[in-house]
Amino acid sequence: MLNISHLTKKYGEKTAVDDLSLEINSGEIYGFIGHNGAGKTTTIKAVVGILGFDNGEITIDGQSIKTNPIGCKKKLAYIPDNPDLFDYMSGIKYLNFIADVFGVSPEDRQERIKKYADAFELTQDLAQPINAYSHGMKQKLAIISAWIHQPKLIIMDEPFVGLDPKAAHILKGMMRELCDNGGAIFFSTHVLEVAEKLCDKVAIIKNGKLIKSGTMDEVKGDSSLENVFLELEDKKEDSEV
Amino acid sequence: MLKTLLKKQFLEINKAFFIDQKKGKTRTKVGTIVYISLYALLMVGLMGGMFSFLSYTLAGPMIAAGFDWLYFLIMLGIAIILGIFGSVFSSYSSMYLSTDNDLLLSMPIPVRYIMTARLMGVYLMDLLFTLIVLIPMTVMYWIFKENSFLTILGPIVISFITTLLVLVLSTGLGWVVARLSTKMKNKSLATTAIALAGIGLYYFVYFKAVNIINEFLANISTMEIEITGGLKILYAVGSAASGNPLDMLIVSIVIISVAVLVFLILDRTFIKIVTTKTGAAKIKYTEKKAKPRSQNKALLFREIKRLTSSSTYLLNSSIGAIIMVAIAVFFFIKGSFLNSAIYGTFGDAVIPMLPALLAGAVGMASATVMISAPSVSLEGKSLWIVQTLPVSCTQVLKAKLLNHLLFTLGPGLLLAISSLIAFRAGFAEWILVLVLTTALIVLQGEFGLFLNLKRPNLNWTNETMVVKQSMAVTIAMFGGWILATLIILSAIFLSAAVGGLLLAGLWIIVIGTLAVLLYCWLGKKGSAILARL
Repeated sequence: MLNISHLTKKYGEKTAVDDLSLEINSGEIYGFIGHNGAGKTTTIKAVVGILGFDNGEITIDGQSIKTNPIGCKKKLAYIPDNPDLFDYMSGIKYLNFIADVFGVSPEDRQERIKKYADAFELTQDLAQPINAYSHGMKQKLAIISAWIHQPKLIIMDEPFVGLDPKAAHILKGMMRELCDNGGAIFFSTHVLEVAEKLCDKVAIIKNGKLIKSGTMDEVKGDSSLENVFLELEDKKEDSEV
Repeated sequence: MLKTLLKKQFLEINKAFFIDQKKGKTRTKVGTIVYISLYALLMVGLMGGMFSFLSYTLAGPMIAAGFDWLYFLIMLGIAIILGIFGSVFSSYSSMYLSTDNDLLLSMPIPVRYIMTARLMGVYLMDLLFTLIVLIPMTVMYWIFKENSFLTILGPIVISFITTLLVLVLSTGLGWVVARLSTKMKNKSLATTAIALAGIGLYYFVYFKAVNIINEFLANISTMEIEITGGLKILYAVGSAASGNPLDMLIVSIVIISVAVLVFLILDRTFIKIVTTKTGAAKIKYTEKKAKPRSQNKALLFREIKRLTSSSTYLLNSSIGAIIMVAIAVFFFIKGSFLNSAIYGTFGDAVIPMLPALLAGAVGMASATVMISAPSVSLEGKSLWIVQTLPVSCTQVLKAKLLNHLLFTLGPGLLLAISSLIAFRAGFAEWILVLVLTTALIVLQGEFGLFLNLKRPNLNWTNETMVVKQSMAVTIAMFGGWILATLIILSAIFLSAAVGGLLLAGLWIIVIGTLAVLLYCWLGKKGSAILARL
């Protein structure tokens, strides 16, 4: 579904992402972990077409984000770490705008808005302007807007930040449901327990370089993901010293 | 601490001078100097030059005739009008709607300091607009007057007092808007209506003063000069500026007292206004089937919603459209006024000038509509949404341009039609004026987008920064004025030689070509820039 091949992104002299390759297949929830400034957000922004890159290739369902960005964007949804939405719209107008852009039929959008807004207990606030929403409510709205067009691939940057425990639980269920129906999810997180329980595969990035990736068992073995992550971080630091 | 806050406020307003928004890097010293020089050239060179010429024309004869006070009164009136235009529509949002209010209020900073820093932001805009009139006014007076200590002091003191008066009028109206809008349901439209009513009141007072002066001037040769009633107050202001110590003292005490009173009111109410989120009751959501829109319609709807939901954007960017409609209505009712004014100035020589002259005049008015110029910057931190949606950036830019045209083309053409009717223009003139006006308005909208793509600011803390104080908006407006002036000048000086219809036709080719070229640029390079911002 998503293929990242030898991705390199530089900001001036600094290499933010260095020759990174990953493959995310249909049905997989893929976790992306790393310390602050490791290159997670840069990778994600390159995947969703916000950032250009210097080398490599990114394809979504066989189409290149470089040569066919609109074709790729039709198949994906993105939720950033800080969901700055159109504050000047109400929640329902925002959802309808997204549905219009993706050509979702009135029946489908109505059904999906009801399903997800009810699940997140956001229905009663949909007529309110977004600028009156809390951070968590904006996050829920961003999630509903991503699911409203039933994309094949969802990219999320720290999706659990700002969500209450119930909403986080609902989101995990939605993620699994989407992947069980043939979709794929690629998300970054600092919450290693969530990654460990939820992800089918995981990749660890440090200083722009992929240091380990694979199925959860391949990456952590008998240990915990937290231990593996900390060991890898320490090992790298030792070798740097 | 206040110094730090003022520095922050100053940096935010003038960020474009010091930081390259595109690269996110600090400019080099040379770059900063070049940038500031260009801006100064635009403001001082063009606007300042215009008012230097005006004060030069007025100062000599009026001072020689002993009407120093009247000279000052006319110039001060212009400064106040310009200053209010520059700061009144942004004072509400500059004072109360900054996104960093919560952050600053959570810090150990006295609220008065935060309020003062915001106030200084408004004052800076006020200074920018008033000083381009007040400086030439003062300098010309010194040149034409035999100077004494008081004639040197008078203009300086009254210039300062004038800037204070403009600040009082702007922030006073901003305060009224803030107090009332917290209780309104549709805040944006209510704010717009209140601000327009306030500005209407100010201009009513101004035109009353102009009437008093006109009456005085009409009777000056036939009757004894008698200064009574409203004229007495106006005389005191003019006389204070020309160095009368008693009037200087009285005027200063009155204005400073009002300013202190306004400051105290602002100080006492600031925290309540910025922390109160009352107003509209919660809107109940009722489920209903949505009427689907196409991608392009959805994008256009988004732009319209963006414009109409922000009083700052709506007031500052589309006031020109309202003015155009108002003038058009005036011409429909009193077309003979325009007819006699123009024929009175140019006589029958105006006939060949008409097509380019009318289109140029409409272009002057439409250049004040600034809907497209801040529209990219206004995306702010939500730009990621359109960047990740399956729409091309060309579609996004087209929607922005269409939104500009939607609010400008109608009023512009209405104004052109009202003028054409007033002049009883022929068929060829009708076609040429309407086509040239359309081409000009399209080019102005595209030029605004072009400038904003070249000089975007996505990290603002207050909409005013991009709607009012940005480089893109300033250059777009002045650029529009320069082009319209060129068309008007060509009409005056070339239409007899070239032929009025041919001249207008040539302008249509030039403006049309530029519009097409810019449209292509927006579709290719412009959309590539937007995709990577």
